[in-house]
Amino acid sequence: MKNNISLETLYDAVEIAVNGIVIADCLQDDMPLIYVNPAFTRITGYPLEEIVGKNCRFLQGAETDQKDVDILREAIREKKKCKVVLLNYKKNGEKFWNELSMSPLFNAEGVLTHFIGVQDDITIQKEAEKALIEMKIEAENNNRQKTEFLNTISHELRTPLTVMLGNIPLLMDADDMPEKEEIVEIANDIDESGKHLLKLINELLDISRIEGGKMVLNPEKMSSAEIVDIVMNMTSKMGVQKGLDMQQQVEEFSFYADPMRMKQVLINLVGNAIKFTDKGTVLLKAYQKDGKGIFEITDSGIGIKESDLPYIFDVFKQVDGSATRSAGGSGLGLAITKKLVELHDGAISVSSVYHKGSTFTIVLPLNKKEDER
Amino acid sequence: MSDKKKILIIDDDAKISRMYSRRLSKLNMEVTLVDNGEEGIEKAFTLHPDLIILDIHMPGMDGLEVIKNLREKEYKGLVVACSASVTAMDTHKTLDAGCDDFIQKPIDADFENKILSYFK
Repeated sequence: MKNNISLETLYDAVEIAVNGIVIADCLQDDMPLIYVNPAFTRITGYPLEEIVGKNCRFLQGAETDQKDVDILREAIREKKKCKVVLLNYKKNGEKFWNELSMSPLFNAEGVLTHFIGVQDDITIQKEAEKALIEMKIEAENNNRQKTEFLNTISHELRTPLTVMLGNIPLLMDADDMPEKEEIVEIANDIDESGKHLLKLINELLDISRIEGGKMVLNPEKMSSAEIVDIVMNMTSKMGVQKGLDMQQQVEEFSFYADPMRMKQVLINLVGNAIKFTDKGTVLLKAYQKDGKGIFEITDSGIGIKESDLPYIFDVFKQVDGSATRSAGGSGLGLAITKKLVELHDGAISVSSVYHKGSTFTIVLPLNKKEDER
Repeated sequence: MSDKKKILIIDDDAKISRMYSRRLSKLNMEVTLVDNGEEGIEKAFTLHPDLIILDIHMPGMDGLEVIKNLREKEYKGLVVACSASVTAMDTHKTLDAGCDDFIQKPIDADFENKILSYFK
């Protein structure tokens, strides 16, 4: 059957093959290699003269899966063909995925004389496969988070709607209206719920804008003393009504930020401090440290449990959904605050002692942003 | 039926509790409001209400813990979960834990009929 093809042509074919080809001698102890083609050298870095006489297990290393090696051993013992994909090591120590097919060669007497290995470096395919799997897992996680987010939003929207839709039927029969005082009470409840709903929707839009990269900042030169004054003016009435001592300590410095968003951030934090403090002090401090502008909001309120601290800035993951709600919050405020601070290249952190109070710290760069619009 | 039905509302949201109270008072029912689970359990045994309306998402002890606790203590009365949660999981959990029914918030115009149906 070998008509017309010279041994030389067959040899050339093996030499120019794209796949690595090795021949192991099964008549010698430990099956040493007696030949590898140039493609094998290209893939592994090992030249023929360096490895001739060695068993090809030198390609294996620490992370090679023993199960794959066992499949190879089993095939050799059974004198059968086999195909495995295993992690091998190049001469320079670099890992590569080796798709290896082994075939036994028998002589006229049926004695196993050689094993022929044909190999291919499929590292690129393997990495692509791994990346795809990771992407799939990430997509599934995102999907799950999105579902949870939608369930939570739905719950949060339905709650004020329950107050609104639940009360309306009481006002629908003109011949059977509640007492005057009760009508006022109902109107107040519906009004508050409507406002809460509007706030929730606005904050959802903020979150969506920020996450979609659509939140455009308009940075201006700002003064620490001015913004502290504005924020304290807008919030201290609420604090004083609760009998709180509203304090400020300001070191003047200028910084670049979007005034509207900066106001939103500080009002949110001072507002939270007031909401969650029943007696004592709410303090807004501004100072410079290590070339950064710092705003610090400290309260003597209910504090945050240590176990809850890692989640405090997560969307809808705040400690007590209903506690925040009864305080008029949506559960989105801190998430938005953090994102707005980060959009300013700043950072926000919190420290808290449960039942003693909390401190929120914002650190902002003082220099002007390069890519300022 | 001459004597008033006693309803116990366990819901942390004061505005929602007031709304229930107004709607149920029109049915000539005696409504008691509590805003947390612990107090709700205590009231269940002292007040002996004809029906408990139980919120699920509450700070501290949530509705699921309340119903489990009540049934563990062999509370035999009617307990209806009423929640804004839309997940089938929450619905199943409350029924599995021993609630007699699940009402979806916002409640609709049929709310009164539904409540009355529990006493037929």
